[in-house]
Amino acid sequence: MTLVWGLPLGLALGVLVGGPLLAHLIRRTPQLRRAFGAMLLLNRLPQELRRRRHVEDRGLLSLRMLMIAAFVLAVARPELQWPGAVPEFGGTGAVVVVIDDSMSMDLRESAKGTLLARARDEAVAIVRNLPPGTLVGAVRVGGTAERLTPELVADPDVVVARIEAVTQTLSGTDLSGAIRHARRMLAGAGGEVLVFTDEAGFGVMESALPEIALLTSQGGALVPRPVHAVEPGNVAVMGAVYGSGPEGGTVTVQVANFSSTKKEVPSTLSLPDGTEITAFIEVEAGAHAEKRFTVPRVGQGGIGSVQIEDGQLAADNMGSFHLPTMGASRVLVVDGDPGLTPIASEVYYLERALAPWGRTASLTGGVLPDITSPSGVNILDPDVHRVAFLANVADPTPWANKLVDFVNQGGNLVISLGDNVSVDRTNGVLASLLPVQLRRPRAIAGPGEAGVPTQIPDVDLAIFAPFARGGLAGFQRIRWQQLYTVDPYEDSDSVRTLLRLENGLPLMIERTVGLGRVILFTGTFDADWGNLPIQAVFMPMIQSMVRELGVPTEEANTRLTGVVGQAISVPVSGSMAEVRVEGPSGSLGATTDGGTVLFTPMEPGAHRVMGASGPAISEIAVNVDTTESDVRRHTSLSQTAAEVDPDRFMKRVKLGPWALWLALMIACIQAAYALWKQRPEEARRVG
Amino acid sequence: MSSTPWDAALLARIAHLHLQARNVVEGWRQGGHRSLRTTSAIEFVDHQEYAPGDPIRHVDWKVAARTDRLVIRRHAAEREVPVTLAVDFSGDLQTRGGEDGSGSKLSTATVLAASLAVFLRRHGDPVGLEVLGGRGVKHRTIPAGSRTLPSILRSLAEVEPGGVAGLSDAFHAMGNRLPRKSVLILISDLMEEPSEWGPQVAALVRRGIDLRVIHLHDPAEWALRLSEPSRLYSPEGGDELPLDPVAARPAMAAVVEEYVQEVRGYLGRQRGQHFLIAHDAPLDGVLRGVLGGRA
Repeated sequence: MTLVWGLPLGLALGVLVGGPLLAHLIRRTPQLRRAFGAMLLLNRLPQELRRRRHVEDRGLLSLRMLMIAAFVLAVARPELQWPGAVPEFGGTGAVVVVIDDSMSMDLRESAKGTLLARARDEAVAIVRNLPPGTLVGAVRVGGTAERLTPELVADPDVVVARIEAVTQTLSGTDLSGAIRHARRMLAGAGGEVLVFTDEAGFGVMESALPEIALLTSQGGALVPRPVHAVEPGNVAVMGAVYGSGPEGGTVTVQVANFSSTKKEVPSTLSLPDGTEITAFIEVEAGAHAEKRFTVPRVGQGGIGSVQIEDGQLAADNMGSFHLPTMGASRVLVVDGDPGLTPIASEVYYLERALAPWGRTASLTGGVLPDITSPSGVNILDPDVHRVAFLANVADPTPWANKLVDFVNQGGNLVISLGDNVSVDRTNGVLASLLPVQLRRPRAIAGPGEAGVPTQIPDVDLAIFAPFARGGLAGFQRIRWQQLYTVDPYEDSDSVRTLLRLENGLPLMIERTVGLGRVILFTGTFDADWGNLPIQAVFMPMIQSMVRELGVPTEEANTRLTGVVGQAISVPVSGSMAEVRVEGPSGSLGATTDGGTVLFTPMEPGAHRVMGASGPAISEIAVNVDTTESDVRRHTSLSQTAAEVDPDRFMKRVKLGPWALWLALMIACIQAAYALWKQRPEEARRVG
Repeated sequence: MSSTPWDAALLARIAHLHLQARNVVEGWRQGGHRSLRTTSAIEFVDHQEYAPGDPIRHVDWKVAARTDRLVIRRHAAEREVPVTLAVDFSGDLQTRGGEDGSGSKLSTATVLAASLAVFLRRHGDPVGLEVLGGRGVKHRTIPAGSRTLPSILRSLAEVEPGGVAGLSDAFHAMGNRLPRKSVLILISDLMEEPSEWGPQVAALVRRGIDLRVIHLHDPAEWALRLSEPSRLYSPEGGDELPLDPVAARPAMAAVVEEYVQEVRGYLGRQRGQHFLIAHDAPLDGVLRGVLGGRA
């Protein structure tokens, strides 16, 4: 709030005039002069009493001072200003009505219906009352903004019909796009853009600032018409996610309370197999809360959902999430060279590193590896396994295609070598997976020598990130006597070296293939070629590797997520002829572009891209835009627009007339008071 | 003021009084006063506290035995005592402190002086006059005598207030001029610094002059009974003083009290008698005190 002086000079002049006047009133010399015979005594009075000027009537003096001050104020024409005014619609001859039909406008007030209904009614009333000849257009905001009328029209009934036909969307607020449409409809000829919005969502109004600036610069004027609930409140599902890696086991649900009171909402977690788990979630006012649901150890994979009960805004009461098939191992270890003794096998060390607590304990957490021989690779299932280890496998030819499919669909493969590996066959059938072609085993240290140490890895790489807290020196204690050499290569977008020896030979090379990744380990996981498995860094490195590779890839073709109102693109391999998209309410319109299916979901829930037959090509967990869930007002549109055109959005109170009236009123009061005081005095003197 | 400067009614009220000199005087004419010198067969008057230098034979041993105090018996002796009336006609005497138009200190001083002069002459005492301040008077000094009353009354009638009294110089001059063992009655408002005139009183006492001061004051002035702020000035000159009477009133009372004590101190040290009287108060009481020599 600021105080602006219309005529600052008047204030100065007022002070110049009023100051001496007040000083005179305060310090004026008494008019009455009289002889006094005891001056000797008066001269003995204290100095301050003898110098003191008398204030004849403090009340009267105060009134007169106030009167002068009020006059000075009136002359200076002060004006009190503060931002927040909503400019009135001024009838410029061209009007664009912008209707916010985003999800937050579905907020219900018991007696008044939804905010959208109110906004529609107000907009229709304004359009109907426009002066004849006014050009009108309309734009809606939800999802991607679009024009309700292609251009400005002179017939208000057309616009009214379009506005009344606006239905609630569950999408976000594209205010910037809506103002852009409105600006283009006005075509730089000036006019007013009336925006009917609830101003909900953090940062939503600010996002439209550039367009508002453009509109203003082209002679247009933004006129906010806020539509608010008396007490906006909403409890929303902000997200649900199953675990954070292969050891999972819980679904974490995030709930937010966008109201001013603490809420306790009933919630139901629904799993793909129909299992339902109910619980109450308590969430403080204006806060988020997390609720963890423990899911069965064995269960069907797919898309689950969580549903809460909240009456104010129902659209965001549901959140959907992906759930992998549970109850099976997530890691498959293919033992290509079972040793004569347990500790002579790579599998022995891998199993200890992956499940140090044993198989039983792994059921409650950690990783449960499946161990198989090369003939059992057929059990590899992308829905079950996230990571497969090929440990010293001689000939992958029989199931090479399965491995390729596994990786292309998002699986991850770790290939370790050894004496058993056939270089030619491996290079041949796994060429599409190997980061680099193998050459041959090479002794890099003589008998009795300590071996070549390993370089300290880069902790910026996710696999080695846990070592940032310590233990990096342990890598230098890993020494190698023998290693597979590889063809020369260079790091690229798809191939990178994760770890080397001190002599520069690569030890770990990663390649991205399809939606998965392949790591080639040029040594062995047993103690034949080096001392890796008996070093302290072995177990944490393997655990970290599995955790990093085991996280479901966001881009995984089969497990996509989407937002209501936003287009989703799903790559599809194979025939596109009979591809269709199924949503919670049935089939959706979809387009194909090359190997991609494009569609825009209009409701939350599980969406599936289906082929002619068989299982879903892809499953998409669609949720609403949670930006819309925050129905509280953060920055008003007026505040935002005021940044561009502050003058129009200032509330003003002119204090000058009030000051003048006050001065006149005080003048009368002081005059009456002075008369009232004077009369008894005169009467007394006359008497 | 009436056509005669004295107050006939007042004179009637005090007719029975005799001027009695406190000090023992040696009159050069036999008058109506009694001399303390003739101790035998002389009427006892009162006791007085013994002071070093007093005759031991006058000590009243009976009283001393009863009260453990040394006192001296005093006796009256009838003697004729010259009396000088010194009247202050300075400018301050004419002011009226009150806002009700009541009389001034000047009129009271004139009445007092005339009444005393007439009374004393009726009782055969020689009377003189000293005019302090004032204007338009032909004879400012009239020595005490038996035929001075007409001159005194004429001077009292023709004098106009003005100027300053100049008490310090007046005391000094009268100390040199007045007869020894005479009586000096000063009628004044004493509105001059006591520290200036006070020490000069000693000049009178050294000559054995009995000083009796009638201190006139205006109660309205001393109480600052003014209804509104005023610029106050003295007719005797000096700066104006703007004053808020309401604000100054409490302090004024203390100043008055301090001033009166100061005056009494200077006079008391020289055995002068001080009679403080408001100008509008009845005069018989103060005359009784002045003539009886008891403050």
